[in-house]
Amino acid sequence: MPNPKNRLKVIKGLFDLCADAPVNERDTLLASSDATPEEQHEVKRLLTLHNTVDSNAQQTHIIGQQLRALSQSMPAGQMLGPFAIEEEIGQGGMGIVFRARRADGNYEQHVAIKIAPSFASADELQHFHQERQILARLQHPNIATLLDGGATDDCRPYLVMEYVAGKAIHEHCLAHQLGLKARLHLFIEVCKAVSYAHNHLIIHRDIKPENVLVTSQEQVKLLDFGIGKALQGEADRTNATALRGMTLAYASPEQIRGERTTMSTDVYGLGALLYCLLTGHSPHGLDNNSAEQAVEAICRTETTAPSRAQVDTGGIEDRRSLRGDLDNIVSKALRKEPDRRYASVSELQRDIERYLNREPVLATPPSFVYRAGRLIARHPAASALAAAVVIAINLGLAASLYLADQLRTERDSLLDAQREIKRQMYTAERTTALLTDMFEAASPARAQSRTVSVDKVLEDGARKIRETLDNDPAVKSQLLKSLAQLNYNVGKYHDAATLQQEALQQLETAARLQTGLRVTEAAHMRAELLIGLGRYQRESGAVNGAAAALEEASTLLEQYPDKRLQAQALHRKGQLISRVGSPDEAIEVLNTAKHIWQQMPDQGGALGLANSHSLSNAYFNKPDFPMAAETESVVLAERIKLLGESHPDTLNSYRFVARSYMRVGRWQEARELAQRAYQVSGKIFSTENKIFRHSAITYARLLGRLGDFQAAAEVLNPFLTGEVRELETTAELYHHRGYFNLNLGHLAQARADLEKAVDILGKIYPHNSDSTFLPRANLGEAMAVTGDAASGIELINQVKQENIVQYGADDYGVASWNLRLARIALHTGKLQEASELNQLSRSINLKTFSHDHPIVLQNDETEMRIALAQGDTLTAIELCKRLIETYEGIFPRDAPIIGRLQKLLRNMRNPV
Amino acid sequence: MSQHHQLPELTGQLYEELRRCARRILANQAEGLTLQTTDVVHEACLRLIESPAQFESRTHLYRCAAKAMRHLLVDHARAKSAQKRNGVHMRTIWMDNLLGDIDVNLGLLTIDQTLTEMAQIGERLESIAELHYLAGFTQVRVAEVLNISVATVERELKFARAFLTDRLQELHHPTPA
Repeated sequence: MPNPKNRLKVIKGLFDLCADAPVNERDTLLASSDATPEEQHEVKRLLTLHNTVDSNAQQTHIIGQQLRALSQSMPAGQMLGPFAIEEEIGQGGMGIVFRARRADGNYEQHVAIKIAPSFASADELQHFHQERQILARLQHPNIATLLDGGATDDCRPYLVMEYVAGKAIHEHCLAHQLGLKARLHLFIEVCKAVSYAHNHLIIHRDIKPENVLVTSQEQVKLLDFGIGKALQGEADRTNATALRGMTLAYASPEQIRGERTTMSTDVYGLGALLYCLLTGHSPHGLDNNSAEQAVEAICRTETTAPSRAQVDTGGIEDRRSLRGDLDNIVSKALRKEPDRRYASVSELQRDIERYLNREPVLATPPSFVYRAGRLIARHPAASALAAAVVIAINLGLAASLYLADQLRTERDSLLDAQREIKRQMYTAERTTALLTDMFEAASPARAQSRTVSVDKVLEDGARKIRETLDNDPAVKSQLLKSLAQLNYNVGKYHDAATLQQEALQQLETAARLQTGLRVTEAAHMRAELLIGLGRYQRESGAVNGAAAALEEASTLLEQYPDKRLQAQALHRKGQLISRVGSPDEAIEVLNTAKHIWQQMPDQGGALGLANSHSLSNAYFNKPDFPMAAETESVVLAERIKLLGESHPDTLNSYRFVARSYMRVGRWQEARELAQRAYQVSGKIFSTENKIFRHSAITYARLLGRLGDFQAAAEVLNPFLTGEVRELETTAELYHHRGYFNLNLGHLAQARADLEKAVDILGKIYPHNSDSTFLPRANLGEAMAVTGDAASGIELINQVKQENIVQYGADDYGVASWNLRLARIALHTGKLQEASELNQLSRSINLKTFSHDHPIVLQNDETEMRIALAQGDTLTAIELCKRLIETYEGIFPRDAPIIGRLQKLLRNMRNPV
Repeated sequence: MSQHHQLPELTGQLYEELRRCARRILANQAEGLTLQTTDVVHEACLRLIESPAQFESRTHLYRCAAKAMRHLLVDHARAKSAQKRNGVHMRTIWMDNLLGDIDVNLGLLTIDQTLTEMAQIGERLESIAELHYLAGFTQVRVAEVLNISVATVERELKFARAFLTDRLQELHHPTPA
């Protein structure tokens, strides 16, 4: 054995010799040296390292890391504010975590303190304090509470959090040998907590089993919400080093790539957590891999489905039970592209709940929707169609999954089931093929002209379906149904109804031919088609047809009950009654439907919300404005959570809440909501769109109520330039613009607008429908002030009679018609009659509205004008002063009506 | 660590120098973090306060500072890896560690051991490596401090680099015996 000291010297000498020599001479130098073969070998190894790698990297990194770790450590007993450090309980790039104890003698409390690795500049400290305040808003039983925070003497920010004594969730599952259901229930608790935080716009960014503890009382606690963002400095947040502190095994692809993190990042984190709960390890099995392998796996390799993942202790033993739905759910949450994952955590949660309830889950094979999405992204021209198609697809697939699920549970006849599945798959394939074709056709590259009309795409689709598939009526029926939905979604109600009727015929043919359809199934499919038909016909104005279709659906469902379909049928029936019958009856029907929805695990989801929305509308018509506002506020909150801010349904809710607020005197809130709905929908939709039109009308009416008739009319103008396509909303637009023009004194224009409105409404509603009351009465007033007093008065009286028949003599509508008659009397100099009618109007109004409601103030204003006409200026001045005061109390200060009254008051006091 | 003892005059020099060492080391780190290093250095000074009563020269001061830093870090790494052996460590892979795919504590102990091996070759080699890695001096500064040529420093560091890397790789991918 040679002296080791000598050995090293030999190696060093030989290394120096070779390192200075040209590469091709080194072998000769080595061979001719006195060194042993082992020494030669070691020198060779060192030379290779010397030539190839930036070999300083490792040692400088290690020394730097160690120095950093040292500078962060804190001895036991060290005080931070009122807390005494006890011991270090964790360490990572995001800082060190200590367990500490409150030591100010007040009470015994353990806390966890997380200290940032770097000291902070003044700006960074400010950022940290802002984040801290946001985090302090998170108060949820399943989220570890942020208690305090501050900065150490050397300016390192720290956060003090509730100390949770518990086991990491996967260890808890292992220790208690929890089964699949128990694990999923725990997971749902986690989802709820994350959803709660998302509603506060806080993203976790680092969801992993170690951050989800379960206490001995079985309570789930999420740690470290948003901590990463709070403890990171400005520089860290804007570049890839934001990754520091992430546990790689649970990091999302976008975090690895250094891209923006969103709520979708947490959907991924939850998917990874679920994966661990099912299989016992992380999605990519990264626990022992190198960084490069990990990055490759996370960003590029498809995750192995949980049912096929390697068996590990801690997972679900029976891997086969994970096949299908759970595999799909996990895979949808773990997609590499954030926008292909579940749109929200609550969607993921709901799918788990659906799975537990044996309902069909929404995690579907991605191919088509993805492809469609890509096409839409490339061709914005087709985007009007996009929402429609995606909705249709979802409905279609949900329906097929629903059937597939039924088959799964009733597998008494295996052959039947196989045949049915094949048929369903075939239908799904055909639907996909058809819609894909339609999209391809819509792409500008294929089309002759630059823009492609949606109509043309839909017409082509209809033609294609009608011409083909005669030998498979069941599939043909499904396709016609999907296409009907598309037509409805773009506002082509007549076409939708026609296609739906064709779908019904095809279904009948299919049932006759016995193509493997079972009786119950066929009945449910028929009922569903009829419910849709009722909706399409109602919207197209064929109310009798709609009533007949819904009646048939109800009868069918009595024979073959199905809760979901029954609730839907009741909802559509309630909507129809709202349109043509009494509000009380509609409220009763819609409440029955609501009751059914509420018994379902997801409360019916979007459909349940739509039902409550209709109910609010019915309350509004009753009129019970507080109930309408209350009902719709709940719907609005749920829709923002479920669908997001700019979804058409959410916008509708904004509008409805605004409308109800107007009626209960919450003007400022109403104006904000209405303006928001109008502006957001203007960014998304064309002026042909019904939602944009309704938003504009609500906003304009609000402006009109505040007295700004000019602005109100201007909001409506752009909608009334092209050809008339959407009858009902066009009539409404003319009506409201006519009313504004009347108030602006543009009398001829007002009358023309109102005549158009009444003319259109006459074509779509029965003559005595309450939807025609207001436009007809306003037309009457316009006629009276443009020289046709007698005909005008007659028209208003006619409306008044119909109103009394339908809603009684005390209805606020009657008050409104009396007010119009009073104003006409004033205009024609019959002051006594005007005064009597106005008094009558006010006393009826006061049965519904308070004395300071703008509708009642219209009576006050009329009284003032009558006094002025009578020459009683003193009374008029008194009334005017009171009116201004009242308006100032309820309206925003800048409401134009206040300015106008002030001007009138000045003129009365100083007549020219 | 927030309480600052009054330091004797001469150690004040060392104190200042150690602070500079720490800043230089961290300035070379990829993350570009600036750290408040005062307290680390303070600790190192307290530890060394008895050892050199007086510094013979600047060179002596720098070499002491580098050694102090080395001891400080090694002690810390020893404490940490003892903790790990007792099971108090996180099993998950942290992104930081993945930069070098390495256990920092064991790595530091290996560096310390390798520097001791280098001392067997020659004290100068060890000093050059210590000044470069643990005092954060550039090659030119090392040459100035030790009053030798830059070429010599370059040559010695070539070996030190390769030697350290080799031992660290051995630690993580041991060659079969």
